[in-house]
Amino acid sequence: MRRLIIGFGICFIATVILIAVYGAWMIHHGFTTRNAPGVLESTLAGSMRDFAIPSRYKSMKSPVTATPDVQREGMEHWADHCATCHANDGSGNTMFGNTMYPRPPDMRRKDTQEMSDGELYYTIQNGIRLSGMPAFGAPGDNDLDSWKLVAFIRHLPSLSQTELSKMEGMNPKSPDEIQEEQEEENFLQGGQAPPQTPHAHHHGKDSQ
Amino acid sequence: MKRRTMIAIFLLTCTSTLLHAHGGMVHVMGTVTGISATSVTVETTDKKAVEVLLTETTAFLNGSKPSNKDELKVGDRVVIHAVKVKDSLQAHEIKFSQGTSAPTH
Repeated sequence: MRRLIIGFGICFIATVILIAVYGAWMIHHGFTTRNAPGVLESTLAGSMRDFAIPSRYKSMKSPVTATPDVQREGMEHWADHCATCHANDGSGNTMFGNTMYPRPPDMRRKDTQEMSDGELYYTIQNGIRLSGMPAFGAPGDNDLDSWKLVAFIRHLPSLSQTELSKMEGMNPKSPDEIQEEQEEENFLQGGQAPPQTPHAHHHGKDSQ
Repeated sequence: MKRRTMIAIFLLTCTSTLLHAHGGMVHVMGTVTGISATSVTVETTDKKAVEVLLTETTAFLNGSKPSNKDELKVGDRVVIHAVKVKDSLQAHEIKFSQGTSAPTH
């Protein structure tokens, strides 16, 4: 019994020291989002998220059949609402995605694709705390737009270049971005360049 | 200091991650003056030499068509959308056109 208590005490003290060292390291480096989360943090956060999804969603099947029309609607929705962070192709390689903490996952990969329809739906509907993922849609299990998004997420790994080009036209753009695109296109076609380059592009997104 | 420590410990014990922040995409516009295995050098329209690093995920577009690094040539006009990482630029997308030369001002 005494050895058990000593063992427990050592583990407890070691954990506290580990947390203190990690905490001191974080404070020293600041709470920047420029670094990607480490393996331990990602694993813990991912596990907590998995635990937090109610079990009934894990076996839930989509009520929507993935017809071309459904995938098209999902694509339009994705390009308009999701691509800013997740990118049109689901890679997460966007201006916002590259500096979020945690980074949006590459949704074409198995970590996402192996999630059940219900888990994807639950994540869209309820978001993920302490990340950049908000809760979309109305509470409940019958938001067809979110189910169509699930169908589109399943299609991400086989997205064609033609579909990607189409999506670029669906991405929301500010008047400044539209003007900037026109200036860049004009330059590529042989026209005069706008006065200052390079410059930081702070408001838009660049998703592909 | 105490407050910051408490915040850090709270966040750690919650195994949490923090909220997102904005970043900036840098646009580099000019003419290609050099291409290597890992980077593209551009003379911008205001005559500055800018090196942009290539990554595995850098996308190439010849006009509006998907392309690759092999099609990019010295002398091509380019518009590069890049992410600033510390003191370097990493290319996210390189859009280029051939057969047009940059104005000399």
